[in-house]
Amino acid sequence: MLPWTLEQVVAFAPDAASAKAARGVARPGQWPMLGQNDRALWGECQGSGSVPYQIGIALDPGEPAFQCSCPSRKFPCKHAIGLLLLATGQPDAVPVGGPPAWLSDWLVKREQSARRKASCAAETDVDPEQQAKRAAAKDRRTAERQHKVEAGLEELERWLRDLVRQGLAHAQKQPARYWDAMAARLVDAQAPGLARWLREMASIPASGEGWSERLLARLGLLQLLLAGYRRLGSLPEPLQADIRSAIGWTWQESDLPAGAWIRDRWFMRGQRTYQEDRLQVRRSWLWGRDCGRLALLLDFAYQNQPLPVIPAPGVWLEAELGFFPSHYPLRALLRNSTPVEDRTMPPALADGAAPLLNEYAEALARQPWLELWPATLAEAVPVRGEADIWLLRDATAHLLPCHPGFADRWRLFALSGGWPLTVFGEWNGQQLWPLSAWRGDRFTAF
Amino acid sequence: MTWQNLVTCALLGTERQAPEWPAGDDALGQLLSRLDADDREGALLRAAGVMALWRRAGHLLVHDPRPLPPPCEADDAPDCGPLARQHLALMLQGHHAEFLLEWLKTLSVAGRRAPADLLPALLEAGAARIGLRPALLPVLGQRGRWLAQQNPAWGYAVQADDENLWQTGQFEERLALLRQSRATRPDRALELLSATWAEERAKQRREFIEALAEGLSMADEPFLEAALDDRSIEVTHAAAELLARLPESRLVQRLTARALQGVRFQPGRFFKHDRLEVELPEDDPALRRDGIADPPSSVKLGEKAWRLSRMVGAIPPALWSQQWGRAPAEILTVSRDSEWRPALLEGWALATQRHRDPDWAEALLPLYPDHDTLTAALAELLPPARFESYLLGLLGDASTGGRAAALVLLSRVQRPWSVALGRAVLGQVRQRVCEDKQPDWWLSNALRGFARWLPPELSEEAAAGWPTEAKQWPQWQKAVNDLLDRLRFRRAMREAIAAEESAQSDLPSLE
Repeated sequence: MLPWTLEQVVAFAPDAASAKAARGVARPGQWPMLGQNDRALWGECQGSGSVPYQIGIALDPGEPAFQCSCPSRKFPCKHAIGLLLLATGQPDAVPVGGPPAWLSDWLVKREQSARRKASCAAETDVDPEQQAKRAAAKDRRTAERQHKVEAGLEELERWLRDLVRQGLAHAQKQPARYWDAMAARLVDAQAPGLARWLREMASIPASGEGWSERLLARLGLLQLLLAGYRRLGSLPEPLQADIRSAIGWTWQESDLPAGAWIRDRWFMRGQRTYQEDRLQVRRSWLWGRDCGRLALLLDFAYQNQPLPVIPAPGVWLEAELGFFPSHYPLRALLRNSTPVEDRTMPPALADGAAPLLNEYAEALARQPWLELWPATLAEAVPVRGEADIWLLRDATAHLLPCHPGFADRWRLFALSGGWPLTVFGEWNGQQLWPLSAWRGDRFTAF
Repeated sequence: MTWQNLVTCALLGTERQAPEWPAGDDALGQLLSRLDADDREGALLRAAGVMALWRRAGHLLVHDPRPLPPPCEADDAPDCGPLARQHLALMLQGHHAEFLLEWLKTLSVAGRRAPADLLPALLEAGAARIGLRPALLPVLGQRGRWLAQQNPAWGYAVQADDENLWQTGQFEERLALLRQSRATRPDRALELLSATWAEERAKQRREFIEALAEGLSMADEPFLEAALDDRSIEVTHAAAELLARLPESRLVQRLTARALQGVRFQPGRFFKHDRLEVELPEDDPALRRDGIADPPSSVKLGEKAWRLSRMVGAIPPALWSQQWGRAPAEILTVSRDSEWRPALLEGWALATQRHRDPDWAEALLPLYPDHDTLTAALAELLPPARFESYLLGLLGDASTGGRAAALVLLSRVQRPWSVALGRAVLGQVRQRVCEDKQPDWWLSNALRGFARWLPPELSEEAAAGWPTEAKQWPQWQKAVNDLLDRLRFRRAMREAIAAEESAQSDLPSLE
């Protein structure tokens, strides 16, 4: 029995198209040769060529490792996912036996490297030669990715120039394929951040009034990002990191230097969970009592899988946060966290809408690609404007508009009762999406 | 403006128009002056990026010079605690929603109010379900009423301008308004209705009259008496039905005078039993005006017998006991020999319900042990102690028929049970599970409903003593667990309201 459910197997696929193609491959008739033992799963799949592809899957606990002789650039390819689907759905169709020679070599190599890794970890980096070797391998991988990304970015820039030459009105008439195809090529170029950027832009032409302005602003910022990447070496290091992050580099816990970690008592100011393609995404905003910093935690889960469990908004926790390198650090990883009993409410940070926006402008100056900025408005009274637009009015009668998508506006209004309260939310440059509100010792999350 | 020019150029495309950007000595102008005008696409994109950032960073705040609308006044009553708030949130999301009414009533008895942030959802629930409103209004507090003023959909919670809604609203809105004000201020509702009565259409007149059943009193009598002369027969019938529930109405007085003449009691002498003498009423315009016209086709009685039953049905049944000096049960026994007994029984049963007479209900119940509707309707009229003893008697009955009838009756009657009755019912159900040969779908369904009337303090006792070894237990397990869940929820929600301390005031201190 394999340790994965069908849903989990589908979730290994890099995108929906691969998952669909894999289902077509997951039929016993397509496989002239199949086999499994307790460590691996293998098979030969009849593709379009004369020689069948050879697929091997190492059954490591947690996540499997894939290998396939097909030329597909998607990883894992449809053959690998298809084999896993077949073995999960119809285990009887895959006979138990000894692995063929081509697979044994790969498995042995994998085991050796796993053992090496384990011993390295045990010896805690005593061997400088090994260390140098690994560093070199890492540099090589980085260089390879750099190369791919550069090619992808060049293509994206040509595409952008074509777009504005033909005009936004022309782009508006294009089918979804127009955007999706470019996004898919950016995924292949290992620039998933830009791919997401493209998919978000794809929805703008149909978003009604003011779409052309919004689209042009996004296109312009994307162009600045490409220009920034081109002269990456001349930029300060933290800004380099921001550009890499926007393109799609991510940081693991082990990548962060010890200095990136801050131990503090953190207040969970607000959370927002939403669906993006097949992913559930959760943004959590924290504020550190002693360091005074705001932090963003991002969690992901495939469709129906549960998101990792973290404390709810309104809770204090003792924890370490490791900040990603950035010119305006927000994104962070959480470790060693324990919720603590504490009823104090956090301060508002900025006094009134004008100082708040000044702070935002400063943040933009440091990190121009900042999409959402954590904003806290003190002494805010929710008021209704025209056409069902809701606004937050500060003590000096300045108005900050709420996002039209914010569904809990009546709740916020009821909480206020026409009196001021402190509202925390995400500011996108034009509108605030409230995530929590408090007054006295009462905290409410939306 | 220049941003707009840039957008226009981008819309058309650089192959049709060259982009323009603002020139000037400020920082923006200086930055943009470095763009290469020959590279149209590159210049447009870069100018767009720079200007988009410039605009975003320079978001202009709107200033609102008007004073703020008046805020809500402080509440005297404390709101409920966090756990009670959780219970309400669950119910408003549809979990255990059938206990919402009980929650609202318990909260109101405890003198507390609903939490501010759930008021919108609660007001929304009240907008959809008129039946919730009487229980909902007392727990809204100042905050809820203040909130309702801001949203026309919640206007029902604000007493202010019912006049306007009544005069200009849609029929459904007006009917809802009428029903709701009957629940709180019946005289005001009648005032509204009287003012527009002459202009209402016949079908709507009937529904408006039917709405007066709520909060009915002698104050409505003159209006209803006048409605007996309405052009529409449906309206007169609806009015007669309501008048027949008012013992002092002129309609009841008129019918009483006739009935006393038509049905006479002959006390027994020597060897003769007591007996009833009956003279059947003829058709006549006065009777017709009082709502007794032609029998509906479904009636099994003869035409005259039906008229008798309707006449008897309008009179408070206690009158017969007083008039004849006999208890209800004795009168029912005497009626056994009468040729017109079916008509009399039908009349008495109707009158007992209309005038809510517990003595007659108790006397009639044994005659209708398992009637579809009548058994439950009569049992509802018994005072708590007599209701309990009647049902405990049935449950202790040796015959399975009596015990089964008790369970059926309990599934239909809408009233809370005492601890003793709750214990007896649970014992009976446990026994049924033990004896069960085939799963009893009816009872396992009815169990869900029992959770509403069992006393919540029994929730722990109710969880014990189930025959989990019985062969049929798996069939019952879900229904029983369902029952226990509901009972526990009711207990938890009542305890939370009673015990929890309120969170602190949710208004700023006005120092």
